[in-house]
Amino acid sequence: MNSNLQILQVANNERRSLYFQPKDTALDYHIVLEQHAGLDLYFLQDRTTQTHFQIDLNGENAELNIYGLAIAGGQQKIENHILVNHNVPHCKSNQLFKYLLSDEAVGVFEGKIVVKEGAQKTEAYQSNRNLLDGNVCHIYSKPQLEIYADDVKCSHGMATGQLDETALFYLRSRGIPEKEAKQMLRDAFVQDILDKIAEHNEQNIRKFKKNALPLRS
Amino acid sequence: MLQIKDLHASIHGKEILKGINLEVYPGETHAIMGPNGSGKSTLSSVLTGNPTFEVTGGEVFFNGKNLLEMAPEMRSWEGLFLSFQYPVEIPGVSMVNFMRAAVNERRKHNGEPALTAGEFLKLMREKQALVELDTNLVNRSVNEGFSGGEKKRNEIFQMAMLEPKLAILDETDSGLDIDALRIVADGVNKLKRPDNATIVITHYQRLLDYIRPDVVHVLYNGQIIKTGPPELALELEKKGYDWLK
Repeated sequence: MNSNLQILQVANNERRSLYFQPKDTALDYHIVLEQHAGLDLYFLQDRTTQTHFQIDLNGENAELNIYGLAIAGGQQKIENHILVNHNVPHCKSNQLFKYLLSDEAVGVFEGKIVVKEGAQKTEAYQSNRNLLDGNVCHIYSKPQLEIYADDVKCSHGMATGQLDETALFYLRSRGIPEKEAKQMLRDAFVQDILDKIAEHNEQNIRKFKKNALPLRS
Repeated sequence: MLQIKDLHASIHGKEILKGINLEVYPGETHAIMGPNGSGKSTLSSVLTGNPTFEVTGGEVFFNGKNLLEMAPEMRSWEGLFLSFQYPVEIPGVSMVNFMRAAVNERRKHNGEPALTAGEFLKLMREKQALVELDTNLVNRSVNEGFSGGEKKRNEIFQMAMLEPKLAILDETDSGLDIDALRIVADGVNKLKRPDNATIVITHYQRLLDYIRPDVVHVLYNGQIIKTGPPELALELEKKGYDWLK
C-alpha cells in the first residue's frame, strides 16, 4: 500500500473529528486517545480504497465514534480494516459502517474490538450493514470482538441483504416506476449516515460562526 | 370495469387460483369472503402484479385493457389500488416524498404537470383529514413504527390521494378495533363515487356492516363457489363455510 502511516494523538479533554472524503483512497492511521478525549471519524467512499486504522483508547472516559459509508460499483474494491483497543476502563466506542455494492464490486470490512484486561465499564458497539444491489457483488465482513474484562457492555453485528422486494412492490403498486423505486430504497439505506455527517457539518458551521464572526475589539 | 376470465395462478409451482371468473362494473361494491388459504390474498396480489405469483392461465381486462401485461406501476396509473393486508415499513423513505412521487408519476403518465409544493401540501392536508391521520405520522418514514390501525388508515389515506377507479381492500379490517374500523370504513365510503368500484376482501361480516356490498362472493379452494346478495355474508357469519363445500 502506498500510504504513509499517520500518527495522531488526541490529548486530554480535546475533541476532534476527522472527515475522510472519497479522494482519500489510501489511509494508514494510528490514533491514541487520552483521558476525556473525544474523536469522531467520518468516511465517505465511492472508489477503490484501502484503509487501516488502529485506535487506542488509552485514557479513561475517552469516546470514539465512527460513521462510514462505502458505495462501489463496476470492479471497484473498498477495504476497511479497523482495530479499536479499549486499554483502560470507562471508555466508549461506537461504529456504524455501511456498504452499498452493485455490479462486480467487492467490499471488505474487518473490524476488531479488543477490550483489554481491567478495562471495566467499557461500552463498545459495532455494526456493519450491507446492501448488495446486484448478483455478482461481494462483501467480506469480519466483525470481531475480544473481551478480557467482565464488567462491560459490548455488541457487534453484521447484516447483509438485497433490495427489499416487498418494499419495492409496495412502492411500484403506488405508481412509482421500478427504477425510481429502487433509487428511493438505495437512498433510504444510506440516509442515516449522511444525516450524521450533515449534523456534524452544521455543528462545525455553528461553531465557526460563534467563534469567528463576532466583532473583535 | 374489471373482467376476470378463468384466472389461474400459482406460487412456487403450487396452484392457488383455479379458474376465477368475476365482473365488476362502475359504482359497485363487491365483497369476497372465504376461509384462510382459499386464495383471497393471492387474487389481490395477482391483480396488482406482485411478481411473487405466476399467472398460469386466463385473462383480466381493466377498462378494456389487458391488465396482466402491465407493470405494477402502470396498473396504478390506470386506476387500480390495493390496500395491503400487511402494509410494508420502509425506513428512510419519508411519507411525504413517497406520496409526492406517487402523485406526480401518475400526473406525468396522464400528461399533467407536477403539483407545486403548495398544491401538494394542500392536497395532503385535505386527504389526511378524511381518515383522521395524524400529521406527525405523515412526517415519518413510510409505515415505520405505525400501529396496526395507523397502517390501515395510512392505506386509505394513500387511496384518497390517488383516487383509484378500482380499489381492492385486502383484509383492511384485520387488526382494527371498532373505532379504527369505523374511521377506515367512513374514509372508504366518502371516496365512493358512481364511476368507481370497490372489492372488499374479508373474513368477517363485521366490516360489511360499515361498507355495504352490492354482491357477496365466496372464494373456496381457488374458485368462486357461490355468489349472492349482501344477506349471504350474514348467513356465512352464522353457518360458517362448511355447508358450501
